[in-house]
Amino acid sequence: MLKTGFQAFRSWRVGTKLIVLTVPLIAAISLVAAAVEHQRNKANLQEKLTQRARSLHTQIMADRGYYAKVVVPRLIELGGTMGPDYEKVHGRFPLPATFVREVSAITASHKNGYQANLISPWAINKDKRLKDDFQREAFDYLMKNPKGHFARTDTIEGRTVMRVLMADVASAQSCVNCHNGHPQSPKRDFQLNDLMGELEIIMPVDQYMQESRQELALTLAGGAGMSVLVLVIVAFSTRRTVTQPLASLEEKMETFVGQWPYAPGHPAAQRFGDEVVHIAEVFDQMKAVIGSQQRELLDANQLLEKRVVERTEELRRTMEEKERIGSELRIASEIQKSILPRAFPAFPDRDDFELYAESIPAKEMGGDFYDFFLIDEERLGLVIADVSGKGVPAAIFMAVSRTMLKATAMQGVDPGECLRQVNNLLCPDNDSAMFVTVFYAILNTRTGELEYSNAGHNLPYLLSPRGSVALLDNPGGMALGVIQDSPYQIKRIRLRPGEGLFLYTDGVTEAMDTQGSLFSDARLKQLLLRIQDGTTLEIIRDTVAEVRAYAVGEPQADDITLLAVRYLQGMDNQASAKGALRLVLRNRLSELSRLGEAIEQFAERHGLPQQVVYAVNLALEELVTNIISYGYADAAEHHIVLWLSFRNGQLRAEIEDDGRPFNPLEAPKPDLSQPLDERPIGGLGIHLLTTMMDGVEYRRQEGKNRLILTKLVSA
Amino acid sequence: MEIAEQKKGAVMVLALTGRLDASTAARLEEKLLGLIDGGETKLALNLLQLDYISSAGLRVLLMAAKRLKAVNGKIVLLSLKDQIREVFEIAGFSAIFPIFDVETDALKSFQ
Repeated sequence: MLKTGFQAFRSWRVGTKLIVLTVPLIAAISLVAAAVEHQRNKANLQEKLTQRARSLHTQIMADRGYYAKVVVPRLIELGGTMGPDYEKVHGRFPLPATFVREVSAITASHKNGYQANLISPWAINKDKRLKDDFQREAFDYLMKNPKGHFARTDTIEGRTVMRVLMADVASAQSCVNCHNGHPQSPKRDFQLNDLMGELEIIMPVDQYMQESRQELALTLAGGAGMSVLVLVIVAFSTRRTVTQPLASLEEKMETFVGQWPYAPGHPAAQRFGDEVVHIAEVFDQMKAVIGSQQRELLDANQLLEKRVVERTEELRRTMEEKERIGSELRIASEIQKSILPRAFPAFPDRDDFELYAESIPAKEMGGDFYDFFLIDEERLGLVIADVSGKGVPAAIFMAVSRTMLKATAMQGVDPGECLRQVNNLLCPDNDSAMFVTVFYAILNTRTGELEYSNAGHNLPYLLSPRGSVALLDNPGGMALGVIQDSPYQIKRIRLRPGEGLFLYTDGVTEAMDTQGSLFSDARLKQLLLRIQDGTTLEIIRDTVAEVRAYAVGEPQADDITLLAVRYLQGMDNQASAKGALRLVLRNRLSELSRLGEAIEQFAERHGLPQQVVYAVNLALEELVTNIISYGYADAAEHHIVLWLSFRNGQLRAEIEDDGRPFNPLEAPKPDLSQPLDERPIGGLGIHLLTTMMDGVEYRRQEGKNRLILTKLVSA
Repeated sequence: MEIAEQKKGAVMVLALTGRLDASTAARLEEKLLGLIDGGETKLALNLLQLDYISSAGLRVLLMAAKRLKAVNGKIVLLSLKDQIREVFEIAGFSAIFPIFDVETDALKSFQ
């Protein structure tokens, strides 16, 4: 029973507990204080009353003393007598004792009055003898302590009184004489200052008790009032500062824990305790939940780290692979480039024709190609082709078809037959359904007859020195690799000396600018009309420059391949163009010797005058040295490409490098008037070249510096 | 390029043969600066057999001339081919270097 009661108490809310504990406490304190006060009052009362009694005693003794000493002797002197029957007998006066008694009777009748009695074991009046043990005890005490007092609380007729007994000492000789001389006095040997009896002062205590009780009641009332006040204050404040926040906290924590699906449940029945206990319980649950969550988090983190390490490793491997593929592609690209004939002049000892070709793939590997080869002394085979698609697959197909074409062509068959045979070779094993468009022509360098066949390719332009540019007629024919046994017709024309052929792939005409519009055949035709007088090298270099300028800002969309040939049979050498030179230098100063040699050979072949050779030598040496020394930020190998051509009395040198942008025309001109001390060491080379060459043109295209130098050769 | 040294009196005469270009200029630079550091203050370059000079060579000559000036020395050039002379003109070197046609005149200039 006690246990359940205690449990119930423990379940009360904290606020309630506070109230339940503090209020009674206050009340108890008040009570205790009141009780203590009451006790003190009572003791005080005794003391006060005792003091009062003493002063009354003093007063009374003084009065009686005066009466006895001063009045009584004079009365006696005048012939008076003392006696109890003073009212009846004339000339009789009250005895001192009577005086005391009767005065006290007056005072006793007052509300706060006291009663004074003189009593003595030797009282003449028998009424005045000691009546109870208290008086007797007191007398004994006063005998020894005449200056002391003996007090007690008593009840007389239902009223509480305080009785204080003090010594009645014979202070006057008359007292002594009277008592000693009285025949009924039990003691007749009194001396002055002997204890004759005792004075009892009886003071009503009720009044004081009542007052004390009233005070107690007030205190209690005050205590009760304060308790109520405290109750109210505590109730309100605990509600706001303790009960509500705790309730709120309790609720929130319950909600918080409640939302975790795996929070350990707690049977409410077991719970006995206030909300703090409950909060602590919930807190424990939270701890458990958070603890397990933390563990999970740590595990997840570890797993994540492991994954990251794995992924990083994967990534590294992927990057390595990618680089490997990239470098293989680069190598493959080099190989592919080297498959096509790239040495120019291609046939330096032939002066009956001159040709130049270039192929610029869109990606590392291209699907376009050109080809040229002497079938025999007289016949020159010319091929231009475009494999469907670009990149590695096209490149592989390109290699296959080129090989087949050349192998078949070298047998000497006519162009139509060649295409027919190659088509039949390509069709069967063509799982990926790739195809290639081809234009194949055989030029008879002795007669100028051009025999050609076409397999879906765009027809070349015929360049005529009379200024016209026209497409060749299409003999028809489908691209190779599509249908077995496809037929291919032949067409023939005759080239006049000076006439040329411009073969190209659609990477030229389909080059797009940033607006999305194509270069187009119309533009190409316009261009050719303008530049067709140049050497084949110049025509092709200019076309490439034009296409690049047109498509600037857009990445190259398709492979660009060009082949130009000019028939020269029978033409006067001086007025003709021949033997253009293409040279590739690596970016090492040691390559300068190759440059020098190539220029020498070129100059000799064309019979260039010394002055021109010197200028070209100096200009090119300066430029190439500059490029090699300052053009590159890395230590990798770079290629510097040089083209030299000479026609109609003008030497043209073109240099292309992929180093830092550098325009020699913008280099500051040296001040030649400076004296020796002030002349700077550098800056001379550019000045020399710009002075010694007639024309210097700079363009930056596709990440390359392109410089074209020209020098007129005076006749 | 070959460099032939010959002391003629107080003057050190160097005869150059061949090309003075970017690949050969370093050798000449080494030679000239070595001579100057070694105390030679009178230098004459005979360019009769010099076929070609480019800016690299010009630079070396300018450097040598500056060094000599600092030690109160002098460098003269002689027997320049037309082409070489033209290059010197363009570079404005004719004002800096005394140029002579024959050796005797060149040597005399040092007295």
